[in-house]
Parts: sequence; structure tokens; C-alpha cells
Amino acid sequence: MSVKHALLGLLTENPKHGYDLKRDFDDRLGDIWNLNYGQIYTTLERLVRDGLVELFDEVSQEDRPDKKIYRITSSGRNELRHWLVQPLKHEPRTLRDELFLKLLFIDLTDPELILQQIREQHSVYMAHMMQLTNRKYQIDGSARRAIENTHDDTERRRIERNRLVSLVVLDAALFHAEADIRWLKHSEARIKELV
Amino acid sequence: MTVQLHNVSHEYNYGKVQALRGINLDIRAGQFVAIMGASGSGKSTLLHLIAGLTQPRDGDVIVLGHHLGKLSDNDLTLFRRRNIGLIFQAFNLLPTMTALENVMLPLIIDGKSKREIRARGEHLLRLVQLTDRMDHRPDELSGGQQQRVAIARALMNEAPVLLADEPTGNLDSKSGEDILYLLRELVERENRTMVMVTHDPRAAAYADRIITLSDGQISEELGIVAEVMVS
Repeated sequence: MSVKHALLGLLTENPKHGYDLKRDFDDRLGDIWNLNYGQIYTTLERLVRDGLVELFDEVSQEDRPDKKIYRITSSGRNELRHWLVQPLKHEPRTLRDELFLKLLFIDLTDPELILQQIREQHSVYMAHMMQLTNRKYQIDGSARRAIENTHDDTERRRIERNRLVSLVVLDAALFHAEADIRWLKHSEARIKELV
Repeated sequence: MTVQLHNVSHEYNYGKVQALRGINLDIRAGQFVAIMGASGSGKSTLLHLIAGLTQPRDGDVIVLGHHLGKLSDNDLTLFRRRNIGLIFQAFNLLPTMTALENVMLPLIIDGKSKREIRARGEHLLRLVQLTDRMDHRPDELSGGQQQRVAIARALMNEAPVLLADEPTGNLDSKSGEDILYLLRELVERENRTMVMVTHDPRAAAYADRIITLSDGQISEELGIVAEVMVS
């Protein structure tokens, strides 16, 4: 995924400084994508260098460096528009799991060792799914309440958009965790059958 | 405690099939509990025991303070009618009745007149977002809408305990999710206790507690601490 385009997208809303960008990003994608301040600031530097973003304002702060506020340039908007209509890469994502390695080297004369690990991993994924579902339920509920309480169409559309993005992202995480659970169950049955 | 199982064991086929072995389980009021497990793990048997549809071979099942094994058949039927709401995978709606009539059915059986219970039936159909489908018969409703009618019916007698057996098993992914959202909302808003049997991890994840059965025993238990709501 592209940090560059994520920051450009967030800056189309209004000028922001690094902290705003981090907060706005986490609100929407923080459940699945950990973006740190280091990545944000190095990407901002690169965007300024390439003329896609410019310094908009500097706010002095006591005992701390000035707060730099950035805004997107017209080249930045063009770059974002171009990226949005580009087709996604048609490549399967890398599939890699430590279990593959363990299966290569573990002593299968004592299958309980690996089966125990599979069961533990299953619990981890299931607990993860509960957390994700809980978060989804909370986001959905607060969006529904916010929509009921607003009469401003633009605000309603903004809430709807953010709700949709959050739910789609959380669904992706949930479907992946579910696939992992199904795979673990299947592997457990396969190992039991083989041994 | 709303539901208590003390050392409950059950078997079928004259002891040839051991469905449950020494189950101990406490479920508090307002909890949403999912029971998971492979086919034959005993999860449906557990639900039937809590519903009082089956009596255990050993141990006690106590629901809302009543030892189900000590109730007469008549008392058990009455207890179930007033305290337990059942939701099934196959909806089990009567095809010749409208959505509203299906919802009112538990209280009609209980001897109430349609006139006095109509307002509650309509309120429940509004609650499950079927305001404009009250006069439709089941074959005029989608699977998700039929399950909503079945949920409204389960709420009609104001039962504090709701039991659901694979409630999303016959629904597509999105309709199933809408039903789960609704069930969780009902548990929270109306302070019901819900026990749901499912083999689907995504359905189970809607619960605040997941109990997994393997070979008739509890093999795993997971719970969630409610997160601080983020607007």
C-alpha cells in the first residue's frame, strides 16, 4: 500500500500537520495498518521535494519545534487522481506462515506438539475476530446514531463514507482471520489423519 | 445467574453415543454466549437442555432459578413459553399466516386475543425493521426478512432468555451479518440473555463469550472486555 497516496488523500480534505495525518489515518485504517510518525515525516519530506505537497504554515510552540502544516498542490491532486484510476496489481499476496517451517522440522512421531500449537493459534485468531467484530459493532452503532442526529447532508455523507471505509477494512481483516481459522482446522484434521 | 449447568452429562442411543460429559457452565443475565464445535460435539444437545426440550441423563440444568428436571411436563411447557425465545436456522414460520400473525402466535397460543396483542406485534416488527412487511406471508419475504420475523416472534412473550440454533445458517453473508447485528443490539438494548449455537467463526465473534465443545466437553473458552467506544 502507498503511504504517499494515503497522505495526499488526507491532505485533500484540508491542510494538516504530521499529528493530524497520523490521527486521521488511524481513525480510518489504524485497525489493519500501523503507520508510524517516522514514515509520515519522511514521506512528507519526499512529497515536498517532488512538489506534490507544500508548506502552508508554521505555528510556533513553546519548548518544541515549530508545527509545520502542509497542503496539497495541484500537482499533488493530479497525482492522486491518476493513482485512483490505476488498476490494482493482479498478484496474489505473499502467503507465509511459521507453521510451514515448523512442519518441515518438527518430530511428527509426537503430533501433540504441533496440534497443541495449532489449537493455540486457533484461539488467537478467534479472540482477534471477537475484537474486530466488537470494534465493527461500535463503529457501526456510533455512525448510525450520528447520522440520526445530523440534518446536514454533507456531514451525513462524510459519516457514511467513513463508516463504509472502516467496515470494509475490518471485514477484510475478519475474512482473513476466518480463512486462517479454517485453514488451521483443516490442517489439524490432515495432521491427525497422517500420523 | 440466568443459566446454570451443574455437572451435566447426556447420552443417546442407550449410552452408545456420549453427547455431553460433565459440563459445568454459568451464564449471567445480559450475556451473549456462542457455543461452537464440530458436528457431533454436543452443541445442539446443550441448547436443547437449556431450552428444557431434553432432560439430561445426569446433573442439573437451572434456568432463571428453576431446576428444569424438577418441573412437571405442564409446568415445563408453561415455563418455556413464558421465559424462552427460540430462533432456528429454518425460521419455522407458518406459511399461511402473515408476518404479524406469525409474530403474535406465541401469545395467541397463550390465550390472548389478537386485538390486545396487535400493538406489541407491530412494535416488534418495527424493531426488526419490517414496518412495511407486516401483512406479507413468509413466501413473499427474503430469507433475512423471514429470520427477522422469527426473531420478533421469539421476543413476543418478553422471554428473558433467547436461544438460537445456527440463526444465520440459511442466509447469505451480508443478510446473516445484519441478523447478528440485530441480535447483539437486542441483547444490549433489551437486556436479554442469548445463547447461540453456531459453527461459523464470524457469527460466533458477535458474542461476548465463546465456548467451544469437543467430544462433549468444554475445550476452550474466550471472552472479550468491551472496548471503549470510539466515535
